[in-house]
Amino acid sequence: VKGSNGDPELAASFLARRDEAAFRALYRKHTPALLGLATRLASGRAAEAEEIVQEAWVRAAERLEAFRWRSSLRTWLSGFVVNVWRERSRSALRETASAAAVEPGDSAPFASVERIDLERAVAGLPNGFRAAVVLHDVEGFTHEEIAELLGIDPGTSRSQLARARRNLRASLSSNDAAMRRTS
Amino acid sequence: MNADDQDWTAGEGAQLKALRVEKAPSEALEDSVINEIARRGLVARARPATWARTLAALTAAAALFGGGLLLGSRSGRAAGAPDLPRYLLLLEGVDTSTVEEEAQRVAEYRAWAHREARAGRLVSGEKLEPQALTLGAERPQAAGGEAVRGFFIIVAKSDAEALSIAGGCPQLRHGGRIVVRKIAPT
Repeated sequence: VKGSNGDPELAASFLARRDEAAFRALYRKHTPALLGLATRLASGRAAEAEEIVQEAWVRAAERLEAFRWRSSLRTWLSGFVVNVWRERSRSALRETASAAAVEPGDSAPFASVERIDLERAVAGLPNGFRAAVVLHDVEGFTHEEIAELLGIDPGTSRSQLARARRNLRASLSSNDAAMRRTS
Repeated sequence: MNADDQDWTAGEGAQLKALRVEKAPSEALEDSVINEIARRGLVARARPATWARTLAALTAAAALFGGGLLLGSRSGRAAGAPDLPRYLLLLEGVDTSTVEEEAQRVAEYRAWAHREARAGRLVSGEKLEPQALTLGAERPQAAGGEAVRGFFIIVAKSDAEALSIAGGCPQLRHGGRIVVRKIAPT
């Protein structure tokens, strides 16, 4: 198919004959990105990330027949990763709610922050905020895509991201302040 | 405060985007995923009855050829080519003199076997013990059988393709010989 990335053909081949080779091809193509996403969501815990990705693939294999290609396969697969991770993080909503109650006042830009500090700050965000930042700012999904992935309204995704960003800025600012105090 | 108040600067946005990474999964994860969806009947495994036998063969071959086979097809025939002719590659006569040479050889065979298995051309392989046990009438150069150190079974569309596949085996680079025999259809 002209312009195809090969996913529809591989998926069709898998579905028609439950072809193992076609499934392996899809798996090998998409797993590195899915594992990157899962690792970021799981705050760097590699074993947990692999468990999430495994469950995501099992669900995808079960439901591929119903996939209508309105989004890319990668986006659709990412949805399973996010939702498996959310199910495993049962305290996600409660954690986000309590964090949101403490509105940080410092919102200075962090333009020169070190990558490792930024990674730590993202990993340390409450689950709901981390999901918002990782999906939108790191992975590059649109609010509409995130809304589809999470089963929420795009407006909710926007407001969640705004709060998540405030939280991240505050986290980085307090790190910075702590560094200044110790130097 | 609305969402716009919290937009990143261009530099901040770029730093966050740079956190996007792809991570190589462990080899065990792929097997684990395939096994799980096979258990649920979501994928058809080629010739499951030969699984145990072939796995045993591949494990044995790993001793000589470095384990790379374990990553490839585990079916009785190479995946995706169930009806192609099979060929036996007899690997004859390469001796290594040092541990370093052996390690280097293992790495080379592993890479080759891994590549062929992934391409669906390799069925199995075995290492053979150096001593041959013989029955029947004596014949000249009877000891020649002991020169066979191992074998691979591959699938190929033609004799020419079988020779081409065999030609990539590291055996030849090390001064060894490969005898290619087409397996008669049964």
